[in-house]
Amino acid sequence: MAATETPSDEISRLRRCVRDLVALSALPAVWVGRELRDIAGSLADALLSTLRPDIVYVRLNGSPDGSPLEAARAYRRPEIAEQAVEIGRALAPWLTRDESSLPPAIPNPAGSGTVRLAISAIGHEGECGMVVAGSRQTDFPTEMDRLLLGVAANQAAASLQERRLLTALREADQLKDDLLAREQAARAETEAAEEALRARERQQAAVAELGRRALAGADLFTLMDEAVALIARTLAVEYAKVLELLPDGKELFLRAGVGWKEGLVGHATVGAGTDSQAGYTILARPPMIAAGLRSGEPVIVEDLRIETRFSGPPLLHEHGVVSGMSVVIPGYERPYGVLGAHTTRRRTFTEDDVHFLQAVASILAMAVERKRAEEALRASEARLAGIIGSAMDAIITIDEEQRIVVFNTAAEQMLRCPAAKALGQPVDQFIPGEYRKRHAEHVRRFRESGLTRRSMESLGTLIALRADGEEFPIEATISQVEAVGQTLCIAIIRDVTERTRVEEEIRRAKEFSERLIDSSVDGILAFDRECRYTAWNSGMERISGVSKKEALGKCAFDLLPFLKQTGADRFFLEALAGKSVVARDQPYVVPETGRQGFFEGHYSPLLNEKGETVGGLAIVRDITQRKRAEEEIQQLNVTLERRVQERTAQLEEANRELESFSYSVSHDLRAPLRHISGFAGLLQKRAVSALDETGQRYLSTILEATRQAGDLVDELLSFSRMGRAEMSRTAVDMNELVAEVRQEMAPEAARRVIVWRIDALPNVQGDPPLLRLVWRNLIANAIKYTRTRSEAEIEIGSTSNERETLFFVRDNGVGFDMRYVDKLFGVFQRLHGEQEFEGIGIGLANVRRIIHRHGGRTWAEGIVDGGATFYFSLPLSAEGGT
Amino acid sequence: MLELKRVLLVEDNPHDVELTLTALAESHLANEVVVVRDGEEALDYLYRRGAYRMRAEGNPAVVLLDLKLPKVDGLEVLAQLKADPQIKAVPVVILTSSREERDLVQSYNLGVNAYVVKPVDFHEFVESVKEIGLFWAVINQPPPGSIAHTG
Repeated sequence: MAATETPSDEISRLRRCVRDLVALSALPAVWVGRELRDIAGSLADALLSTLRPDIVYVRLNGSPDGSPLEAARAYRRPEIAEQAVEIGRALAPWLTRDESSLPPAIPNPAGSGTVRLAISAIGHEGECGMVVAGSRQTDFPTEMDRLLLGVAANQAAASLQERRLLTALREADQLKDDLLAREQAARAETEAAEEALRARERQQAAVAELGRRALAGADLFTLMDEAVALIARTLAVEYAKVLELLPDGKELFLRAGVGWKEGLVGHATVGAGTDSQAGYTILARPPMIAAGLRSGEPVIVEDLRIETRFSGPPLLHEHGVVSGMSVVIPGYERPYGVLGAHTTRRRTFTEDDVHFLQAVASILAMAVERKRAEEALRASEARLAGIIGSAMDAIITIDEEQRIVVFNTAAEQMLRCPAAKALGQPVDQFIPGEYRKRHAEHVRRFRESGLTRRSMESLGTLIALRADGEEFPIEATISQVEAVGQTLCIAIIRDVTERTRVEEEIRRAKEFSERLIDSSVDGILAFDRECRYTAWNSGMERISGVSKKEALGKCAFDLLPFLKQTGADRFFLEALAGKSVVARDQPYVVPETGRQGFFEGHYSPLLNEKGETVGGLAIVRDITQRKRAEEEIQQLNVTLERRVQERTAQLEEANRELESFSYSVSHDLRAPLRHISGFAGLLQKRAVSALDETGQRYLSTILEATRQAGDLVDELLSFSRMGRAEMSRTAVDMNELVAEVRQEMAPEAARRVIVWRIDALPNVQGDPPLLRLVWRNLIANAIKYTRTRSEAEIEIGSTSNERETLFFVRDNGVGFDMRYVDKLFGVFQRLHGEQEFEGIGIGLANVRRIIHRHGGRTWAEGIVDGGATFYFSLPLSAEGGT
Repeated sequence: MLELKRVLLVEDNPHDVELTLTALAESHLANEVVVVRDGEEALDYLYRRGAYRMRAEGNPAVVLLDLKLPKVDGLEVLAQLKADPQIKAVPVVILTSSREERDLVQSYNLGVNAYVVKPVDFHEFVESVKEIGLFWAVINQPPPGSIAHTG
């Protein structure tokens, strides 16, 4: 405090003092209902603001645990509040002593100089505590400071006393309450014991019910739902859950639960790591994971918030879970999951609770295992049923009484009987009557044999009977198994109708081809690499006279020695060398009879599927008949040729005879004529005077007739030569020929009036001299037979078509009677008398002969006294004619 | 019979011989004609053998040869004559009834000197023979060794 104090300072100081006193006196009101700690702090603060010391230390006794409560403050320097505490504690022993014994100052713990102290005990002899204020001010503590400190201490003491009183009062009440409570507790304990008993009973009943449900085969998930509901109800927990360990082993799936936020059950997952309770539950016991056999130790959490083993999954935290317990639901080969119960209030689970949870977990495990087993069973059953059902073969199982106990789909179809009608019925219904006894015997022997499996093929073709009465062939295998206390026979039956049919078809086809081969007229044989016959058809039997039985297996050359003698063995060898050869005109000898003949053989190699020659095949034809026929034909040909030669010779002879005839005619016929003529001429010369007129006329007639006969002979010879003469064929200008002939005929036409009308004529192919003779004859005729006409008209022309050229000579002469037209072209045929028109009737015969030799035709048209037209045609082609 | 004449007539038919000689007579050649009746005789005459071995030497001026002859026919005689260098020069005239081309061709091929077909008509015949006789026995100069025309 300052030495010199002004009155205004005094007033100001007093005013402040009053204000501080008011502030301090208000403290108890502030302290009502506050904690002791708060009171200490509040008191320290109040002293700091009123006394403005450098440090304040408050110590209050009376905390429930008996330890003093301290509060320290340092003015503007909170860092030295600790030192205030030190100071306060150091000064504590003085509280019970006289105030005067207090040291006025202590060394400044936070710096230089000293700190002056003011202490005030709270309560009697400081029983409620003390307050200390220290300041570096040299005037500390002033009267005012002491007053304020004392007031504050008193206020605190009063408050603390009051509190203590209140506390005592409360404690009394508490004691009363406690007594009451103890009484109640005693009662409650009895009730609780009873309740616990009931709870246990309930739990046991619940577990039993759950177990029953599980055993009854309740759906696993329904069972889980029921289990968690049961747990929640029975343990009075808000949350219960079944977590299923997912196959990856990394997550647990919230399979069933109660109390969880909507939408989580059936969706949420929890990490299976050790940071989750569930994960810890599983993983904390590694050996058991592998075993998966027991539920293991339960994991119990009193307070998740202070749990140290794991942090707890968000699921639990989000739901404000505090306490909980979880057990493993064991599973086959690995745990199924975790069963848990949780509360938001702290809870200590009892042993009963744990047992209950474990019991539920066991039931679930059992249910899970049962389901798994059932599923496995179903799967294997389905697999088996699938195998049996889908088997192509009928599978029929019969018991010891021969009753059907298994009848698969194939059996239904095969035997045309639904399983429902077959099961439990004797198997005999599917065996034809005549086979039943044998079948029963067979089955009996099989049972006695002790064999587990046996083909029934040894029985030969088996026949089964369809429900509709149809019998069909089967193939069966029978086996026996011990099951359900008896021996079951399982028959696997195959319908071989189709196979039998196919086999039959193959057999028939084979038979057919064999018959075909046999019916072949040709011989067909096959031989192996050693030339042993491996096939020999009936054709071969016919040809060789050797039966199939004799031939097969025999070496060809041993069986038929002639093969080597004739060299026909080389065909066998060539076929075996892979060549196809044809053996023609091979002689053969039938071994037994010695009959001889000829055959023709086509030898070819027989190849196996690898293309190797394994033998040979020959198709043999007996050509004896053909050969004979050929020989006959040859003989006939020889004969024919000889006959042709003979005939030719005859013809040549005839021709020669004809020639010599002509020659004779020419010589021998002409000679007498000449002699008649000669001697008649001589007679005429010598005796003309001795003869009268008639005699002379006779001589003349003889001479004339002789001359005519000579002409006839000459013409006849020329006609004969015409037929024999060589004929050439060249291009012939018909215009030229006609012109020449007209020139030649000019003398005959000289004193005549002849009107010629001659068309331009086409060229033809032919013999010019002969064609010239044709024109000569026709034109001469035309001139001759128009002799009676004052004006003769002779027309020469031609027309052509695609085949021939047609020429004609038309005149206006005497014509002829068409009745005799056929005679016109005959040799020595004349329609007019010699006196009328001279001629010997060979001209037109020559025309016809020449035109025929050219391949053409001749004809004529005429009217008596009305003229005649003579036609001839020549073919356009150079062909034809002789 | 053994003298050499200028015309050798080879003709078997007596009528023809007579007529021919009659015709030759008109050319005054009748006495110059030796008549033989067949081919063999003709050859005998020409080669002076057989019945003619005593005849005088020399060849006729012409041989009138018929084709149709007994024994050796006219063509054979012609062939032999014309094949013999010694007598092939003797002119041979075929006098025949044959108009056969074959005979004609063969005769010329064998080297005949002329070929005459005897006409049937007597007058024509006489004319033909007269002309032949005149030409070959008189007009034609025969090869050496032949009987020359005596006038």
